[in-house]
Amino acid sequence: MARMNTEQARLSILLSCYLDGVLTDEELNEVVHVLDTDLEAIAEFHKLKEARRAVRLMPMLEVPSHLLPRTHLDEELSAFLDGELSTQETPVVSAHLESCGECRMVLADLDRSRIAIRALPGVESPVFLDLHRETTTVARRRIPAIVALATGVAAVVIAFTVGPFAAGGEQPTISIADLNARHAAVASVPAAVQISNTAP
Amino acid sequence: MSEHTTLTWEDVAHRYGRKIYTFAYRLTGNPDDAADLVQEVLLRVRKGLASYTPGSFEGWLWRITRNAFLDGIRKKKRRPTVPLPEGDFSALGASPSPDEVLASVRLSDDVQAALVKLPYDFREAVVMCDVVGLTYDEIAEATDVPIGTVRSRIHRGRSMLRDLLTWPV
Amino acid sequence: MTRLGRSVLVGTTFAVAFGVLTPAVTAGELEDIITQAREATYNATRVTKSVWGDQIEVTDQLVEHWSGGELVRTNLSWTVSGNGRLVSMGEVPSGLVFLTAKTTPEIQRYEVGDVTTVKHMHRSALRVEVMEGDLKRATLIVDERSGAVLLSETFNGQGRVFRTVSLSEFKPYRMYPEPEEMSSVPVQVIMHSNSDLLPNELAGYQIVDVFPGPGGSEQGFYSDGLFGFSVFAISKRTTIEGFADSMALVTDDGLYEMVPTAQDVRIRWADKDRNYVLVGDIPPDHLEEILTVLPAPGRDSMLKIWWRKLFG
Repeated sequence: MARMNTEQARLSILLSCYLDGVLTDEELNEVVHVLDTDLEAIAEFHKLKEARRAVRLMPMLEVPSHLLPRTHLDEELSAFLDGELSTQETPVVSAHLESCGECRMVLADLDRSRIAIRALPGVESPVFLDLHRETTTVARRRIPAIVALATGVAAVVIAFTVGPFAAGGEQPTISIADLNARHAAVASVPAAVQISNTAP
Repeated sequence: MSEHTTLTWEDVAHRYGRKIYTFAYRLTGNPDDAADLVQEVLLRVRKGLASYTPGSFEGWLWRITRNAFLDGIRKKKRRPTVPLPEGDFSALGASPSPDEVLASVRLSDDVQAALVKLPYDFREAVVMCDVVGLTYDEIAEATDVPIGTVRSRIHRGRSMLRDLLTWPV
Repeated sequence: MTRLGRSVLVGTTFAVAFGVLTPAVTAGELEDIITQAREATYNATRVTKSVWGDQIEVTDQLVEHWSGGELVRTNLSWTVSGNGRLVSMGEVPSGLVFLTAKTTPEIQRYEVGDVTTVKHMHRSALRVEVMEGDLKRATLIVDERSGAVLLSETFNGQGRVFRTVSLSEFKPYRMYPEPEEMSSVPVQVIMHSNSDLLPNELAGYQIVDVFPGPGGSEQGFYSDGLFGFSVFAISKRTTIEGFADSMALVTDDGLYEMVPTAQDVRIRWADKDRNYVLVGDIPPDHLEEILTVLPAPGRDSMLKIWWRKLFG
């Protein structure tokens, strides 16, 4: 590589900037003049232009999908049901489920399939039993953590059940208070007609 | 760039993911390092969005990206390497004329291989300008150097790159 | 003109002087009224009173209501409910979240009857009759500004009032933010499931969704757009607590145990296969129809109930 003196170096930089359109009027005049007359400058210019073009022609790459948040959940749902999500993934998945009815439905379908598979003989019995089956013991299963459906507030969920709403294994006793609470909760689902036809 | 208040990190991930990944890949030549960088950047974006004050969003984003990259380098304590493509560099031919060089479209692998041979500052400046498409001002903000330095680095990066492409070492 | 006013009065002429409106607006407008009531924002004291034969049940609660939910305070605890979620902060804080994509069905059997303007608690309101065919099923006093139902009377099949819900100290705004403790209450999430057992339609009510219940039971929630109930089908080996002071309900099919409250009724019975519990705010004549359709109580359980009543 030929050594350049300071002036040539300065000019070369201007040539590079010319390609990116970042020259002042004064600089532009200078470059235009130089490119008219100076053969070495022209050669330099082409060299820079080529390098710039080579880099710019490189394709934009596709990001491996596991790096990006997905518009809908996929294998995370199975992991969620198995309690296999990491502590970082869980709130992201929960937050998505909170607002995405589609994914919740997929989750429910997945759960049913899982139950069906697990209900096959020789496999651990699921918590949610079919009434037609009699079981002797049922393993207590940890319910995965999920952020509750919100009216703007998140109720953090812990993966155990306490209080009057306890569920899980076969229990000899249930209370009407528990059943009433369940009814009240379910009865609060939205109505079919969501919004009136008039604006406030 | 719209107000940051309406941006979630998912928005950022979807809109800039490719650019960040490509930036990282072009800088490192290594898909694993690129993936690591994307994850790290998105993580930092998530943490930082809450305290982000409106300004040049892209400058902020690329500064985060660059810092994440440099932190990653320091952690790994090694210079990034490029997986050399199969094939023979000499197939490019010895000293083609400038016209021939101009006419041919360089294999992306070759350019990538040449890029990672550039000194880091030059490489970074060229990638930010010609891969990511940042303005000189944005590059100056992201790299925390004066505009004059940006100009110089881009020029020298391109110049060296061209030499490497023409006479591969 | 308020939202409510427009939705009810659209297309009809209205004579204030006579205080009576032209009749029967369509069910679509009843849904508007109900939707706006669900979405109303207010803080009030709510008194609910129900009459079951000779028994009168009353409760009063402090209520804070907003679109999609309400916060109910008693002197012991508070409960937040809405959108399939119920969180209770009593002695043992706990919560339930029912994951469902379903909604209550569109109204098919009710229509709006007479609508008149009234003053209620110094507020401009509309008095709306809800007709079930020829039967007046309910009267609602709806606050014009907020859409809240200030007073409702529900009638039984003989045209007598069996439930009143009234709001007093009504303020059309919220006073309290959601309690901070909410965010730390452990919540059980229950996903909807399927049932081979529960019918899709029950005496005019449509099934909304099915959920697994405690102890391997199934819960089916039914609604007709206005009233709703849950049927629990429970294993015979499970004991159900809370019916110690029950009343006896006798129908053509048999004998049931009943616990009426101000807001709802709870019924228990059993046939040879399983135990059943029904919980809901349905009127008594609907209840009888529903029980007729559901499996009848088995002889054994009837005898047991008599025994408990006589000797228990």
